[in-house]
Amino acid sequence: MEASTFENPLRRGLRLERTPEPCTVVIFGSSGDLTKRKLIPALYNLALERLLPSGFSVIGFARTEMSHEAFRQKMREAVDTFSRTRPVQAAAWESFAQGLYYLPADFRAPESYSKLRDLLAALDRDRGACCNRVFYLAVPPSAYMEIIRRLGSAGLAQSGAHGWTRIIIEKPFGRDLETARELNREVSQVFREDQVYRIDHYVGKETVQNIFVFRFANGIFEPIWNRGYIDHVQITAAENLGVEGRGAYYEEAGVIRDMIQNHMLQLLCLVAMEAPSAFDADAVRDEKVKVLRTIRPIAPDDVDRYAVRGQYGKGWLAGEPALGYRLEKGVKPDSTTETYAVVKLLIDNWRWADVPFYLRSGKALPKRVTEIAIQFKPAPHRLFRQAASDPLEPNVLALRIQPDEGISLTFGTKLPSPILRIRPVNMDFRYWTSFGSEPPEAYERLLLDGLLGDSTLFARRDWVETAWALITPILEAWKRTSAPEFPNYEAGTWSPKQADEFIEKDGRRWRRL
Amino acid sequence: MEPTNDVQSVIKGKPKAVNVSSIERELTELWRAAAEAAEEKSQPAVMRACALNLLVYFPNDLGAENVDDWIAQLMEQHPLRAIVMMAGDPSGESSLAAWISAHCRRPTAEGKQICSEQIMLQATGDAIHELPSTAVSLLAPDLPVILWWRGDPAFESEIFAKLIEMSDRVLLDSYGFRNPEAELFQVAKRVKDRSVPAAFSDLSWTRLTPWRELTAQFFDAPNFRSSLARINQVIVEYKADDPVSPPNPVAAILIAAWLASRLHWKPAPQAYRVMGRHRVLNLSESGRRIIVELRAVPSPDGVAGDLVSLKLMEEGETGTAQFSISKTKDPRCAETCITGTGINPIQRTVRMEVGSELALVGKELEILGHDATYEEALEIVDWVARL
Ligand SMILES: NC(=O)c1ccc[n+]([C@@H]2O[C@H](COP(=O)([O-])OP(=O)(O)OC[C@H]3O[C@@H](n4cnc5c(N)ncnc54)[C@H](OP(=O)(O)O)[C@@H]3O)[C@@H](O)[C@H]2O)c1
Repeated sequence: MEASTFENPLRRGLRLERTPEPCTVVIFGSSGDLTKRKLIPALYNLALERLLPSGFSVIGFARTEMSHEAFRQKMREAVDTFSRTRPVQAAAWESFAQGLYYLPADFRAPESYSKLRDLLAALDRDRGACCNRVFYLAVPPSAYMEIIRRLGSAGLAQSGAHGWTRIIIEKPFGRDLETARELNREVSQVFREDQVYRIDHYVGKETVQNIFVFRFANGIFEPIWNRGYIDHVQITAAENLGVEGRGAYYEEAGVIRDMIQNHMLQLLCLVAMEAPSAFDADAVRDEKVKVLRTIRPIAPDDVDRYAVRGQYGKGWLAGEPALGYRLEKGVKPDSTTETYAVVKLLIDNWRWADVPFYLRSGKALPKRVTEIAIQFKPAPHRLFRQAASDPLEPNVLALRIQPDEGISLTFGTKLPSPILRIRPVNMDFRYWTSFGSEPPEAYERLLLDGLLGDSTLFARRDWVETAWALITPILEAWKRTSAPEFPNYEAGTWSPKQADEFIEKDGRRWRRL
Repeated sequence: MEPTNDVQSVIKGKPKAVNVSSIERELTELWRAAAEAAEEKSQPAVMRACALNLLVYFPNDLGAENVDDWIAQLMEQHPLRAIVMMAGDPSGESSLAAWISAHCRRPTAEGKQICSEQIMLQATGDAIHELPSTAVSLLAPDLPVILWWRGDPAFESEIFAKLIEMSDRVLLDSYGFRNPEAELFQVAKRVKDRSVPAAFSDLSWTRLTPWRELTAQFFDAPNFRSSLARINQVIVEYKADDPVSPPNPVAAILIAAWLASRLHWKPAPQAYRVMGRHRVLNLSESGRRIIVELRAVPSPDGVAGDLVSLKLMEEGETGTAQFSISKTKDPRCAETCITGTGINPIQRTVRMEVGSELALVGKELEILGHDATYEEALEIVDWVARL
């Protein structure tokens, strides 16, 4: 039957303009944590929502010996435990599970790839997935290059006349500028950039996408979204847990790599970017990269003026005594890894000149909260003689990402009394007061986009490298100079005193969250 | 109805009888008292939330018993102000009575209670005609107004006209019409005439969404898309267990009309024939004839009128292809299948829960404007009805 290029007329008015074409997703690392917690539940939920095409198949790839049937059973248990729609619906699961296959193989062995090719060919034939594929790298980052090279030499990487091939790469993408560049170089030897999807699950969160809508679907914010009205921006991602047994991983990462280089810079881009000419992958990503490129670079000798680091010592978390970082399993007793950091960034363009963006993130803080606070300049003229004891508070627009997703605006209002006294009050919008339904998981949205070939929410090569170029001098400077007296904040407190002094020097202070 | 005066009972959904002229004042007072009570007794704070106005009209008391539960359930997803109107005996003594109540929920264990308001108006005799003007004075300003009209669309009635005039959207359910087919034709005519600015929607159309999605999905695959231009037979089966009473073909008519409008099939001579319990639509496109059969069949699940299966077939010199969707034994699922010349049969089971009437209403409350696809399908319905 001949292929057709005209659009599907039956799609008009339905939720999606199209569903993905039949395809096979190969998950490298399918016996691991990410697969069972996120990937398979997300794919199953897409199937429940009828968003997957017939002929959709998954091949799990890992060393652990398992039959197709055992893999299906394991994945069923995973969905039963981790899916937002648990328990599993038997009939829908059966149909989804028919498309699950497992290949016990070592990604270091060349013969694994010929086995993979045979299995793919068999599925193309039997399930009509012809011949579209997505490779998903859910393996330790040290394995990325090897798998990519081997896919290339096995001839599995090309998109051809018969179908497309894409690769989704998990974070972390490199550990500094040099390694990110090297990885990109390797990737580009094998895949074209339009085949590559670097995932950052933060960007798939509903509330993060809503920043974009909030700014560009409402007429009232853009006119004041600039240095004329905004004093500074605070972006906070706080966690109220320690490293929770992942000490060995964290020793290699630290908060800069774990949170700031990727998630928080993405948030900054969404707040600071110009409106793209269209809502498509290149227009949106061009604008994001432009923001990063206009951020003033931090010279290695100047890092102290732009960044502060911290590490938690023993303290209390949620009413329980908590270990200091250096006593966590897998952590060196004299570790200098930062579990807290503040980075101040300046964007040298007309919109943002002299408006600092403070990014702060840490572990073992009193609360779990992620928010972006836009702090406005005070009213230009002091009309009211406010008592010195209660100064006028500036207006703050807070975009809360998690938990309690919402938007709030703080403004001053008169206290009901014959004397003029002004107090700040909050005008609050909480998502669940307007929308009761549970939003889909970030991975559902991102996987669907990947299957549809929409890379708007994925990081482009130039973005990743520019982000690393900004951040690497901080990492290098901190590696060179010894850490201040670590630990420098107690678990369960908001920040090291150095971080308070840092912002107070600018005549500002941290928001109380 | 057992009215109450206690604030705590009212915010738990128990109605309080109030004077029609003081409804707004009573509501303000209710929230003030609830806030004070929360503060004094250190109970969770209450927050009034409203994202739209929902008018529910019962042309007679029938079916109104569960309305409190319905509104409470809808409010889980859509904080709204509900104004429920019940018309009693039109020849009775003229009376208009009102109750207020609230439904609250706590999305998080530590958080505030989110509350939505419900106003009930019950009228008999001449006062029935006062219902629209009373409702208009109670609308939360600047928010969309959706009318859920329970019963036959009464295009000749002044009350219906007034209520749709104040609404952005009107929800009907042609399954519940007394004479579904004839009333559907009426709706199609009005929508086609555009004599009312409000957008209409029909829960029978909402029920078809999964059927439309699965049908569209066959042709997302580029290699099958060209089949659309060769379909020459469609069979729609819908549930009608009782062999004596007339079947309810509205969902079947709507899906056929949808296919016809999307694929530019035009009614041909003798376009609509009623043959006993079956109907046949005769359509054509660029000289190709398309026969659509609507068959009433018994089926173990669902309610009368629900689709049971849908088959699209092409039969030509180059070969055949058949695309089918049918409900499975598990009422929450359907099986889709593609067969034909040179095609490896592709079969799978997918979830296809249509959802309760309330769930369908909840979905409709997400949409605020006109549904152009539905309106275009109704144009075909109207065309057929006039032949
Ligand atoms: N877990 C999360 O929530 C999360 C969140 C964000 C990003 N990520 C990223 O996702 C990736 C995977 O994380 P994870 O937590 O799932 O890791 P994990 O639980 O350690 O899983 C690693 C997987 O790789 C497989 N593997 C290791 N060596 C192999 C080899 N030589 N040949 C074939 N398979 C091999 C392992 O299977 P066998 O031992 O059976 O071979 C296992 O399935 C990492 O890059 C991580 O940074 C994870």
